Amino acid sequence: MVIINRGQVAAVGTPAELTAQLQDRQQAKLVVGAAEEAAIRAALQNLMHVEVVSVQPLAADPPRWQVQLKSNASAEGWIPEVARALVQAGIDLYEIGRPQASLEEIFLQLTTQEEAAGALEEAA
Amino acid sequence: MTGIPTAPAARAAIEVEHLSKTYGRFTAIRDISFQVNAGEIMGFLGPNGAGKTTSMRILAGYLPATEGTARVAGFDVHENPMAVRQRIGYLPENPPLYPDMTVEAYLHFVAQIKRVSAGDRPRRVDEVIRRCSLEDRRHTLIRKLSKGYKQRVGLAQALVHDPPVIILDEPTIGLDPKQIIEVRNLIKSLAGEHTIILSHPAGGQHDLRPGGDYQPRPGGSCRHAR
Repeated sequence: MVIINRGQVAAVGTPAELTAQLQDRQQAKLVVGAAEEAAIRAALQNLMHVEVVSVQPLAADPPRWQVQLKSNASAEGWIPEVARALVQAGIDLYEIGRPQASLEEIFLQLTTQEEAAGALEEAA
Repeated sequence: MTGIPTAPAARAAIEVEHLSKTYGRFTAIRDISFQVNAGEIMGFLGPNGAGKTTSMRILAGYLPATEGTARVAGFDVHENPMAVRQRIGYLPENPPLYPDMTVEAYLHFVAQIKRVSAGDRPRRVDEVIRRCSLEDRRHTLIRKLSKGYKQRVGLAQALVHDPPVIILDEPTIGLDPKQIIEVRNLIKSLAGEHTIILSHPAGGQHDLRPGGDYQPRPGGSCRHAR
């Protein structure tokens, strides 16, 4: 694929290559069962390369939370680490998904990076 | 009668080098370079006004570049426009259809002006009618067709002379989800035998995930662009 913006090539590659460029934004969405949000955050706080983006309540009885994570890891090993950390903390894991970047997200990220770099160059 | 130019030594099916197009002070595309190998599908993604259509029109020989070169099957689009046009099928954003012709008559007409031999025309027209699932509209006037069927006729006219390179400008724009799936599957079925360039607006409904619309052919990639 060729991603083109304002008459110039912003990025080129196969879908796998383009998504690999976004590895600093690997994401995961989870549904977990825990009494309190703090317990979820505590279970995940010591994991390397993992950042909790949000924890949203889904249901009160039984308590369910949707957790959004991102990671700058280059490999996918952080996903089982997340699962292990939750289970070891006594938190039930009901769903785990890894949303793939959409065309729109890839386009926006690549062109935003390009524009930001251009702005920095102009400012320098 | 002039001879048909023979193809230069084998290169990538499409080679674009430092292509620019300006209109007065407005730059539509600037220093674009990429290559597409035979049998690959390459998608152009960008918002409206990004330069997708300009790039495709230059490749199709409809528009001269201001700077740079573009070659199709080794032929320079500026120096050998007829040789290039014989080797490409082009579907512009608005398909060039004659509404008062039937599907079959129109495709016969296009085959004729694309110099498909009289003996081959019935077979080629039958083939694209079958491939584009137009059998049940073969004798229908084009003006009576739905948008989806018109798009299929547009694809059929691009394919009727069996070109090695196919250029499709936003081929699924304005289609409903079922029609989008049908056109996508048709395009995927053409990969391998044909080299395909197609454009989409950014955020279009296309599947970028592994196994999706742009799954590279074995050994294929589009990594040569810069």
